[in-house]
Amino acid sequence: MRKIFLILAALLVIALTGCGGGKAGEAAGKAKAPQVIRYNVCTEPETLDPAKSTGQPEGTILTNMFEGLVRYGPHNEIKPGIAREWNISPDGLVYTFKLREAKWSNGDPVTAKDFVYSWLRALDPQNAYEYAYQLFYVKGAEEYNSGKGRPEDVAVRAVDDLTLEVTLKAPAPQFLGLTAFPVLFPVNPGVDRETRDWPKVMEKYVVNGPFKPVKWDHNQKIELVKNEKYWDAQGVKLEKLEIYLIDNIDTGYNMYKAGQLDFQEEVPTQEMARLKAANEVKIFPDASVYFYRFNVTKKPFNDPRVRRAFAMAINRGEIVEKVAQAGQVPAYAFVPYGIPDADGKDFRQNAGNQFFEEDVAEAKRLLAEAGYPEGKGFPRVSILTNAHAGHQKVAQAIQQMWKQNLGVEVGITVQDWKVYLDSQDNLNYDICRSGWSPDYLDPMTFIDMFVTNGGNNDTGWSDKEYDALVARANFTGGQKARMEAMHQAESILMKEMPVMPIYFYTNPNLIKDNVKGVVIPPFAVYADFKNAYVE
Amino acid sequence: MARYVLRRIVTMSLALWLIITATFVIMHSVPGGPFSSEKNAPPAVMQNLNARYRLNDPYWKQYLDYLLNMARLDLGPSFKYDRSVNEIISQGFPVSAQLGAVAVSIALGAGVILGVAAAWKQNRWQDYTAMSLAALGFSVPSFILSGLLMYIFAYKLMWLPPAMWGGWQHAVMPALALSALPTAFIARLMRSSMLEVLQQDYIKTARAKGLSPAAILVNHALKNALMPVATYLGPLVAAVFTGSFVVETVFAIPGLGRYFVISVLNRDYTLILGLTVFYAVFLMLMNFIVDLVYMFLDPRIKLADDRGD
Repeated sequence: MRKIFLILAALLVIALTGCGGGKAGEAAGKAKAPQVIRYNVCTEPETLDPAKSTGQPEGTILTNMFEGLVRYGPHNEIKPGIAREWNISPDGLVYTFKLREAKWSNGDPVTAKDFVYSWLRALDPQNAYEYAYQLFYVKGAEEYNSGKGRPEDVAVRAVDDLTLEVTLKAPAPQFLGLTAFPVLFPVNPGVDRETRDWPKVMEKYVVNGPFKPVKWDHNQKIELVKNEKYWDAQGVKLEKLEIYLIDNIDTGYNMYKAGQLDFQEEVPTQEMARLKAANEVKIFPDASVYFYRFNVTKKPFNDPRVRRAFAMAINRGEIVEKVAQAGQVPAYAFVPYGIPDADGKDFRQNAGNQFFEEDVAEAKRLLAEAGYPEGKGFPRVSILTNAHAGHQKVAQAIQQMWKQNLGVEVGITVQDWKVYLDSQDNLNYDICRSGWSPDYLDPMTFIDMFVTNGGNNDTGWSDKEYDALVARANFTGGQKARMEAMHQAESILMKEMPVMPIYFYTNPNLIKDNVKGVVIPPFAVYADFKNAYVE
Repeated sequence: MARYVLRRIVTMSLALWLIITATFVIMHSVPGGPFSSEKNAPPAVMQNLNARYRLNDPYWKQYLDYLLNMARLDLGPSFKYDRSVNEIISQGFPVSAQLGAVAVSIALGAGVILGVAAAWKQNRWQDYTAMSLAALGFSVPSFILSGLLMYIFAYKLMWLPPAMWGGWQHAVMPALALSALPTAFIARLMRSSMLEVLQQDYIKTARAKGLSPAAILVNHALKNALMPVATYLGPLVAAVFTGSFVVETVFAIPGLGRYFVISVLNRDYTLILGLTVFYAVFLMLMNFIVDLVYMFLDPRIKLADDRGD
């Protein structure tokens, strides 16, 4: 009897370790470096319809399958995509794109009419796409989307098969870069008319970019293979791109350790310091800002002196080093690094990152001047944050610093994401944690948030001079005058401080050393594998 | 029998209607909507979204429309994902149910054996061991257990793949993690009901007749002692077959469990309602089946209407 058990146990061990043997075989095969990258985008995409997409995971998947008029290169430069060249009229209003002879993955030619069709589709009020407003720069677009205008009045026109003409309602230098983003990607009109649910059905999915989808296993992975019909297929080295949709970062990390992933979009925070030291984490720049909003509509933060005092009484260097831990940059300004100025240099570097200084003595003086010497009589206020361990840790650090440096007791209120958004929108807070990432590569995406009653102002702050500067920047064609107005606007923002910048984000990724050539631009956190390869 | 079934269907429908109504009211009274986001869209765009998903309609109309669609078994589109609620359920449920079936089998097998052993050898080491194991199963949270299993079997021993859904190897750890709590529960249920049954006169009679302990246990005690376990099995199957958020996210299982949490976080109204309806129907169905099984387990139990008026 006992012998039978032994045999059974031995068999079980062999059966269980059988899968381990498979792994060894795979490892041996790696000597030839098969051109396959297994990348964890860390969540199930909400949609694979370019016009409907709003987020980072969707952006990554779509950018690898489609190509817009332009495409960003490894140094944030705008490179020709489907458009071979373009011409912008001197007043900055009319864009004429000359398209190359490209093909869809089903063999259809990619034409200017496809872009017209796709942009009207993105704007169709019936479709109700959330990011349709990225096309609102185009004359007639907002009117059509809000039901006040007709599609034929949207100023996008196919002059001939390979010439696309777009007229904007006001000069917007950021428009060209926007054509590299999913909402402005073309979709195949024939396929879209025939099968409305093509974005869900991989067998019917037709693309014009580097990779095409084979399979979408929900909450597991999406398999992409090289699209041989892509105009630049020669430049594509990867045979296969497996995009994993594993939302538990620790699980993804375990798979990475077990050799089942090459690349993960997120890094487990508790492992950050160790992985950084081991050089497994690569930190990419990220043109986003982490900041606190003040509710300026009520005491005590209706007083700019109190806001300044609070901003000056924390130690950002310590927060970045000890709490956030991913090489973030302390922020003493609002517009992050990585956004070009009129002269082609960096907007942030040109103006410096020093609108204010950390100075406890000065902060105390300001607070006393506002009527709260040594923090006495300061009303009970609270930091609002969404439920997220990282944000809560930063809030706790700041809470400590304010108590120590200003003698002020500040509470922390944690809310579920949607409740938090609701509270932030309705100014149901005293201090509110926030972050902002750019929608396009221009300071305007940060500056226009704080115009009076702006949809994302959420502080109650209003300043006529600021509004005037933003308006000037929006309706001036000249880059120099635009940028000048935005520099001025930012300095007002940093003097008045309805918002207190804390740090500029970074984008840490877990990447194996042999994965090369992935483009991760700082302004739209997606990963472009067009020129990626395995060494 | 037919009348009994009919009556059960009527009461179940009534209960379902109450559940839907309560969920609808609670869901809409929680702050935040499906389309609120960090980047607020312009009002025109929000208007389009609300129109498209009928959020502009008065609540009573949304409510009635929902009931009407549900009567046609259409649970509507998800507000968040580009899929219908029916699709999400039909893709996720089979996975969760497969995993759940394995977990329930483990729980049933291990739980009954532990419970019987503990009762048979009451206050001896077998009893203490079984009940200590049960206490562990009760008190170790599933995310700890999942992490521990993954660490041992995937990371240290490298016997099993750490995550995702595929062959049987992928089911081992999540099924173990899922079965811990019900195993403990069944073991304790089984122990106490077995102890009770062993006190009964007919067991004493069997003993007096000189039957072997094994024969007494299997032929006389076990069937009656299983009754409370059968009762527990209804809600257990409903809960485990619809998946667990923790176990499914830790092991990257593409099941249904995750959506019970995600839908609420996203305020994905149709998905919240659809899952609630699905779970409620499934639970009521399981309880109904348990009631029917009773009849066969215990002839003393008669269905209400069979008594004859």
